[in-house]
Order: sequence, then C-alpha cells, then structure tokens
Amino acid sequence: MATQATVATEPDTGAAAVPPRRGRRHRDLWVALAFVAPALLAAVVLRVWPMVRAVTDSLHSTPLGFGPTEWVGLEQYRALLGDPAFLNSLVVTAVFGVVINPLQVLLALALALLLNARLPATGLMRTLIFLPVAVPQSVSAVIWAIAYRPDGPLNGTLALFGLDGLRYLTSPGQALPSLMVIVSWIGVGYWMMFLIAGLKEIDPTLYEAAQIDGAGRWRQLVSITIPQLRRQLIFVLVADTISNLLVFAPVQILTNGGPNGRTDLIMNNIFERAYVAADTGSAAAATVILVVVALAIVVVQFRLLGTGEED
Amino acid sequence: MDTSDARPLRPAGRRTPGRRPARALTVLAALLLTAACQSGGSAEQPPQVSGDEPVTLTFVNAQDPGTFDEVIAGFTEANPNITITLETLPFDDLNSSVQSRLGAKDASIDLYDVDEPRLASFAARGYLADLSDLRAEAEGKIDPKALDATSYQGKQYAMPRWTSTQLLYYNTELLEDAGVEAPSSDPSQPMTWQEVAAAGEQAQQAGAKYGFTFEQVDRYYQLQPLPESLGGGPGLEGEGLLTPAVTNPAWVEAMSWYKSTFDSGLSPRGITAEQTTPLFSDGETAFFAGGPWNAPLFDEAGVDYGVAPFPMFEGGRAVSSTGSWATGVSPFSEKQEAAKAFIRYMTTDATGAWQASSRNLPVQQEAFSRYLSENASDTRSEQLAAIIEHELANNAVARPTTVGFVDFETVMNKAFADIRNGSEPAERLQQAAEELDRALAKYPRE
Repeated sequence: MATQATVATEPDTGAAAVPPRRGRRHRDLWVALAFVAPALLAAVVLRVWPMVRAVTDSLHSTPLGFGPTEWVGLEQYRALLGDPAFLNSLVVTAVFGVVINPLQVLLALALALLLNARLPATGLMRTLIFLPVAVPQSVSAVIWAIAYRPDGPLNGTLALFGLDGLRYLTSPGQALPSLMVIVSWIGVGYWMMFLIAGLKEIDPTLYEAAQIDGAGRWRQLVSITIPQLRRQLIFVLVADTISNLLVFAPVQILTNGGPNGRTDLIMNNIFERAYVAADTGSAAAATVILVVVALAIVVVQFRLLGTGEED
Repeated sequence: MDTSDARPLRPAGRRTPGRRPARALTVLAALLLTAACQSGGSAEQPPQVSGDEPVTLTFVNAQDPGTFDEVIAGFTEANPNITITLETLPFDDLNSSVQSRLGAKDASIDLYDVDEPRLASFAARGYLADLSDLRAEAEGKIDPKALDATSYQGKQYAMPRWTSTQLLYYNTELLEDAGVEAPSSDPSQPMTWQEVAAAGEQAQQAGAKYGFTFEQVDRYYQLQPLPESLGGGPGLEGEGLLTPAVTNPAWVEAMSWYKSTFDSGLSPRGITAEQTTPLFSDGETAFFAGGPWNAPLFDEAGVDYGVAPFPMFEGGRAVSSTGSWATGVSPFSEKQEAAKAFIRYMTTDATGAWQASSRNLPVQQEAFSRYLSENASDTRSEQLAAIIEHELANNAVARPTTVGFVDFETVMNKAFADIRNGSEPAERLQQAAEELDRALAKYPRE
C-alpha cells in the first residue's frame, strides 16, 4: 500500500513542475487505461456484478422462486439464521474446515519434504500424488463411491485381515471423515507442489551453515525450513481454506448432505436452496453469509501469520 | 421482428441466381426471421409444422439410452426437416438442471421430461408452456386419468406418455435352494411385506447375497405404498396438500419395517437406486420390488425369475405406485410448434406412442392394448400383463399433486435415506415434518 502511494505521487509533482508534458501524460494515461480495461471489465462483470446481484437478490423473495420478486430486506437473513438446516450446515462446514485445513497443510508439507529429499523415483511419486488433481472432482467422487460401497474394495481389504467392514458414507459418524479423505486425496498433491517450489528456493548454504553449527534435522526444519517457507505456507493455508469452504461435487454426488445432514457443507445447502427448492432469495443470502465468513477467516489468517511484508 | 423485412432480400436473390453466397445469405436471413417470428407468436401458424426449414429440437430427459430411438426415427421419417437431439441427464439431476436453466430463461431446451407429480410446481413457476390445444386431440385416445394428472388449474401443461405400476420379482433358483415356496402370481393374492422379509432371510441363509431390495431405494415413488398400505396416507393433507402428515403411527410402522430390512442385512446399505437392478439380474438377490420396465432387463440377463403382485402389509390394503413420465414444452423455446408436433406424435398417435413406449406402459389406449397383447407371449408374460392390468385398475395410488411436491419429495427422500442408514423412524419423521412445515410455508393457501 505504502509503496503504491509513493509511486502515484511522484509523477504528479513532476507534471506540476513541467506543464508542457501534460498532453503526453494524458495520452499515456489513456494507453494505460486501454491496457487495464479488459481486466477491469472482467473484474466488474465476473466479480463485482455477481456480488452486487447476490446482495440485491438476498433482499428479495418470491414464493415460487420465479416471476416478480418482492422486497423482504433483512427478514430473509433472519429466516435463514433461524433455519436449523442452515445452522447445521454452518456447523458442519466449520467442523470440516477446522479438521481438514491443518490436516491437508501438514500432509502437503510432509509430502513436500519427503519428495524434496534425495530419494529414488521422486519424480514418479510426485506425479502420482499430483495425479488426482487432474481428475475431475465428479469422477473422483464416483471412483470413491465404488470404493466406499459396503461390498466394495475397501471393505474387501478389511475382510482379508479378518476385520469388520466400515459403513463409510452411510454412517452419520463416518461420512464426514470419509469425505475428508476424498477431498484430501484430491487436494494434498496440489498444495504439495507449491511447497516443493518453495523448498527449492531455500538457499542451501543456510543448511550447510546450520550443519556446521551442529543443528540436527529437526532443528533445521524448525529454524530454517518453516520460516523460509512461511510465504508459501500462508498462501497454501489461505487458498486451501477457501477451496475447502467451497467443496461441493463430492457432497452432491455421494451423500446429498446426509446421513442426518452430517455432510451438508454450505455449498450443498446453497445449491439445494437455489436449484432444488428454487428459493433464489435465501440461496443468495446464504451466499452472502458464506462470502462474509470466508473474508473473515482470510483476514484472521493473514493477521495471525503476518503478511510477510517485513521480509 | 416483422416478416416483411425478409421480402427485399428475395428479389435480390432472384436477380443473381448464380451467386450462391447471396442465396445462402437470403436463406439464412429468412431462417433467422422465421425462427424469431416463431418465438414471437404462433397464432397465425397451423398446428402442423409447415415448411421445410430445418429445425433442431433439444429434448432433455432422464431415460436409458435408446429409449427414444424408435419414436424419433418414426417421427423424422414423416418430418425430415426436424432433427431431435437428446440430452440425457441422470434422474437425480434432471429436475435441478431443468429448473436452473429455465429459471434463467434459457432457450436451449425445447422439450423436456416431466415427472408427473412435479408438474404442478413446474407449471406454477412458469416452466411449462400451455398445451391445452393438444389435450382436445388426445381426448378419447389417452387414459383420462393420465391427462388429469398432467393438467394443473384447468390447463394441460404436459402430455402423458407412460404410466406405471409395481411388481414383486423373485429369483426362482434362490427360492428353490432355500426351500421357500414361490409366491402366487394371482393378482389378488399379494404376499405381505413380513412374509417377503422372512422368505428373503431364508434365502440368504441358503446362500443368496441379499434377501430383498427395492429398485428405487430412498425414493418416494416406490416407498409411498408402504405407509399407504397401512392407511397412513400420502404424507400430505389439508388445503392444496400443503400440510405434512408423516408422523402418524402408520408412517412410523412402515418406516420401521423399511429400516429393519437394512438393519438385518436383508437389503444392502450404501447402494444407490441406479445400482440396484444388477443385484437381481446378477442372481444375487431373492426378491426385487420393481416396475414392468425391469422385466426385459432381467430377460436379457438370463436370470431365472418369476413375477408376483406388489406386496402389502399384513392387515393393510394392497397399494401400488403409479404415474410416470410426461413431456412438456419449455415456454422459452423458440421452436414450440415443432416441439408440439413431436409430442403429439409421441403421445397421441397410436404408432408413435407404441414406438415411444420402450419398456414402459403407454397411456395411449391403443398402444396399451398392444403392449398387453404383445407381451403376453408366454406364461410369465401373461402373468405380468394380468398383474399390471389388475394393479392399475385397483391398487394404483398416485403421488400427491401439489405445488409443494418438489419440496416434499426432497425432504422425504432424505428422510428415507437417513432411516435406511439407521436413523430412528419416529424421530426422523418428526424432523421431516418440521422441515416440511418450513419448506411449505412459502406457498400461498387460497
């Protein structure tokens, strides 16, 4: 922010001192604007407009979800926050986030450290771990649906060891953890790639110096790797948190939010409001709440971890 | 747009007959204008599709591949200028997909399949064009019950194609191995659900993987007969059928039985409705509750099976699901006349209705007679035809026709799924009733 302000003020003083240049500056401004225009337009059409639309939609309602709407104002939000199904989906989303985000970041970090070490066939391993990212989420969900069937391969494997089968998606207790496995299977490889890139950037002389000083592996990890990797870790944590707030396809395909609403993540709840119950107003209100929650989480995460500006 | 705009272009085309690009442009412009005018108002146009302009219709449905091959071939032979493109979605996605696209006034859907009980809610939302002119032609040709099921507030909003009923299939070999007597095929002698469970368990002890399964687990269509058989009603009551009634003892008892079949392992958990048919056609399951459409699949699979009437609860009455698919026209389609012509052929025309029946029961009366006679080729198909006729005439109970059906079905299907997965029926039904109260509150009561 501070740097931007100084850049902006400098040419101003220059222009005041040398008035004849004003014409060129104007032309430059137009050229610059022309370059920025497509991005600005895209931002307005793809970001600002939908957001404004969501807010206005959330203040209107129509009994049938079609045709003229009427102003209901904040009543929409009151009704939404009084709906146990919506509150349940907020709780489920929170539990999901609290467990899955640290888990995925730690797993991604562990894998990145492992694959950054000089081990044989790391390239192949990296590709295999990354591969699920390239598979569409819906396809992953279908694959896991088969794996999780009561008579499927996972229970078959358990039976080989004489163990009782698990219920996975059909059990209120196991369904959310089962979804976490799927989402992590997809996501961890992706986040790992950012961390590997970060690890490659760390100056090897730091480790050499630490070794000379007699630092062990753990000490090196805590004192060099983690601090040096902080920016990548912040990015991964923030981006991962947002992407986990928006998990939808596996829920819609595998559980529809059940059993007993235990996997009703907020995106599924919003989808059902909009496209099953045709209640655009409450879907828009839920979307606005989701955006507010996401913003709040991101702000807190940036605060907690520092923005990295002092680097 | 006005058609007169197109006129100046025609002489130009005539003056330069050799110039293809010019002519092509003229044709293109004329086409675009006709299309635009069709969307504007079709009052001046005759009911049949006139002209030779090529028209492509998009027909969104949730049927198995190949279902419409015959009827499309039959129709396009007579109307070579019309091409019909099928867009087939999974059943569970059909309604939400249609709803989201029509909600956005998307013109890319011309006609689509409507599940009959959803018609009222689609019509009330303005997602279906008025087809009342087709009704007049259909009177006397199509089963009046089906025509009523597809009209809402005195207007015809879709044309019924099929009807349905339910049967109990059994695997002859598995029952023999278990020493269980095969159920009677007499339409008036259905087994009780309790007997089905007991016989299924016996078959499991003798080696069957599963004793029994519903084809459409967790779906209201096939489960409605359970509480209805005990006198529990359809689950909705009162004005406009907008008040939930799913917590009475009959509902609780019916759902407790449903739950028990999964608790005991008689039926499998974690298998969706799309995956149940192979459980029977692979010869793994002793009893299978399904529709007439399953029979040809079982024939193909070569499983040794018999048919019996749909079971009922002991002390209750015999009830069978009914209703099926109808086809409606999108009000945002720019080719409504062509779409209507196809629907007319597929539903009202005896040949078209027969071609469109696939493995289902046509509601077009001539086609239905043909279905019964053609299918009665051996003893088993004769039994099947007799059961179908009996069930349709005596036991068929339609799903409630109400604007709130989509909400109702969504809430209930989730409740069924939860009960199947082990939720306590009384508690879960109470929760469903509360959810329904909230979901249905938005509909105006007159």
